[in-house]
Amino acid sequence: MTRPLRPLLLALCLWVAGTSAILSQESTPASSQTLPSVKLRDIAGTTINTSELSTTDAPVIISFWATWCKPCILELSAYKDLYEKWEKEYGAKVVAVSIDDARNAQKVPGFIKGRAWPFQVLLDVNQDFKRALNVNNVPHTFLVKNGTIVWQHSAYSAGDEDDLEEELKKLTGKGS
Amino acid sequence: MLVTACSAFVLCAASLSAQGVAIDDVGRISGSLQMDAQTYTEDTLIGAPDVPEKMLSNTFVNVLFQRGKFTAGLRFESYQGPLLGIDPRYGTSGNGSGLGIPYRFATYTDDKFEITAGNFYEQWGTGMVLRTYEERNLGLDNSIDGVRLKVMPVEGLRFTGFTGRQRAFFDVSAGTIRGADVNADLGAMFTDFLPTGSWITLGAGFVSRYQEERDPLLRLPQNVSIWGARGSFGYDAFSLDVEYASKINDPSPVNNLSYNPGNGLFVNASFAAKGIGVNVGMKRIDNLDFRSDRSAAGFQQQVNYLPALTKQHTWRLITLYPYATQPTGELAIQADVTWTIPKGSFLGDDETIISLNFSDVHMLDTVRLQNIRNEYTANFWWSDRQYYLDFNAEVQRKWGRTFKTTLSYVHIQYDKDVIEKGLLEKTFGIITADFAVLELWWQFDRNKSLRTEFQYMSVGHEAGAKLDLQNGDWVMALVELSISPSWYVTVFDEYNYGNMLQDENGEYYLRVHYPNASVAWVEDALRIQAGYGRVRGGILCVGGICRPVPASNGFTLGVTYTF
Repeated sequence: MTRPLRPLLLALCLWVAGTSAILSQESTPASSQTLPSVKLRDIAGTTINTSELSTTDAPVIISFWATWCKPCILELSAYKDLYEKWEKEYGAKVVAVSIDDARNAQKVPGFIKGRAWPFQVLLDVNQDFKRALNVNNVPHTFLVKNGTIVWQHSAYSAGDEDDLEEELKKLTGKGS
Repeated sequence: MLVTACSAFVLCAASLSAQGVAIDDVGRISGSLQMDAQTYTEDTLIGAPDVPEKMLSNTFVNVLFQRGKFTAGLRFESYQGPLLGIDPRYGTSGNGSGLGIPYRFATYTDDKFEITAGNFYEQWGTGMVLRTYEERNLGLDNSIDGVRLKVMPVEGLRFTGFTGRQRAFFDVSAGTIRGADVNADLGAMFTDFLPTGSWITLGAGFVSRYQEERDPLLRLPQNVSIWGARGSFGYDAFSLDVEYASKINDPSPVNNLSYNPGNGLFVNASFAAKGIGVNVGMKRIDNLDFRSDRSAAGFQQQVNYLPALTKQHTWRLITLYPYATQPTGELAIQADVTWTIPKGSFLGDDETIISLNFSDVHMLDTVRLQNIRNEYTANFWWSDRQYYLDFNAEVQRKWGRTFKTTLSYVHIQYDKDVIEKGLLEKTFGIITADFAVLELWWQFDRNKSLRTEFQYMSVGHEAGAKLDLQNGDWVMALVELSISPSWYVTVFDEYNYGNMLQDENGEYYLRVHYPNASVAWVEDALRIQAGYGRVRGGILCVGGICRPVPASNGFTLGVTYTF
């Protein structure tokens, strides 16, 4: 076998592995992806490993946003109003992942606290977590349980939070 | 060789036959797709050119493979040809087909170390020394193709080292770069060292470029280095960030072949407690542009990142005048306040959010030495020449759960010659813009909402200044209907009713409308958007940066999907 054939073969191998993964989606849906491990800082300066955000049955909502993204702010304001209820009824928590770069990242703590948002906020300034989850644009929201992604949605329009709540009910078997 | 290849194939076949067992035996595959296509119709009135291809498109497909501690990924890109405003070299570099896999990597991550081969993105501190990133909507990707090693010997301490070349379209940069960084989170390294609710993070980084010197006239440094130190300190609601960077002389087209060394200083203090956030910052940049190819310009092969210390506006009309850092030299200050007046105050049963922001950017106070090395001396503080001034205020008010209003005002002074052309000589002069918007948002049904924007912008030009195609006063109206979870219908029109350019008959021929309409459909992680628009030429900003986009007239189609 000549040298140039080897990368081709490897590529073929990857492709076959990929196809087999796609073919077996029925038993393992694509959304069963687990949370990748990326180390991010929260706004209190603590380093958080993203793979440890969800380790129990309690639902975790991970929402990618930016200070310059209007629909993101609408979405997170809606979550803010429902947060207390979601926490009490479903034991859910919200993690807001800011993809703001150095231009705006310094403003994130003031932006969050100034709006009295009660969420845990992570700073993904190098967009490592965004890339690891293949997020194209913000807003993009994931629902996670036991480290496994069970639902995701890109974009936001008013009323999406009700769908998310339906998912929370399904996931926990709680709520009316 | 033959044996390895064959065994790889056998392994591969084995994994295929085992597909029914569990996907975990193979690993996990995920990815995303983004496609943007546009048709172009010539529109001489607004300066939209004729495009021979009639339709252009950019497509990106990412695939990630993960198994245990191993991750590999690639990105296929297609530019057939690049959308207008994206650098045309994406269609001509490499083999010239506009097709390729310019991004691929493999990473092995362990508790104490991480090794990456291939393309990677890296940022240290605010990026004053190093930041590689991708902003595909602007045609920007300066990832490093090489090797990176991270070592985390103890909790909170991280060493990073790399060597490689930056991506340049479908090629790599002419210069090679290498660097090292240390980052120490003292609170994590020494438990009980700091009081609860406080943190200290210190870091220092160094990057150097080697590029052969072949200039017939000048002696240029072949090795150019930049280094920086940074600290982040927090206690309770207070935090302070400081970063300083310094660079040796590096004559390039961007700095007009000046042999001056460069430096940068960034200081930011903030206070954030429930209901109030205050942020004040200062940034001084002196000749700090750094690229892995000294002849590169625009946003090609930038090694470091110098974002503007100004508010990033998103209201459509005011984005006509965005600020971008002048890497040759500037001093900027900014203050930002966010304040929530809670429910049940004198303002009634609902909360009101007030945001105020002020920024002012000036040229450095410099004296040219009039020598062949184009050197100068610079004072610390600024000169009288103002590049940019921005004062803005916004009030957001909720009226129950279903009605929201936003009222915003922006005042901008914009030195068009410096910001857009990098020229100190006055041609277009200072543009003064006063902008106001009223946004109404009404959720009139469980899953239906309507959003409207009414924007107005009064624009003043200096007497005798040259006028661009877009000038004078503007109005804009927007209506957006959203039906959760799937439908978005948006219609808007920008009208340059105060354009001052006249044709030979004295008619104001550029007082034109720029209508736009689009429909988007979303199903979980799939989004498809189709629209038509007459788009004014101007500057498109995504994330923290902006690029000029030419005027265009045509249909657009956009698809994004995450799998």
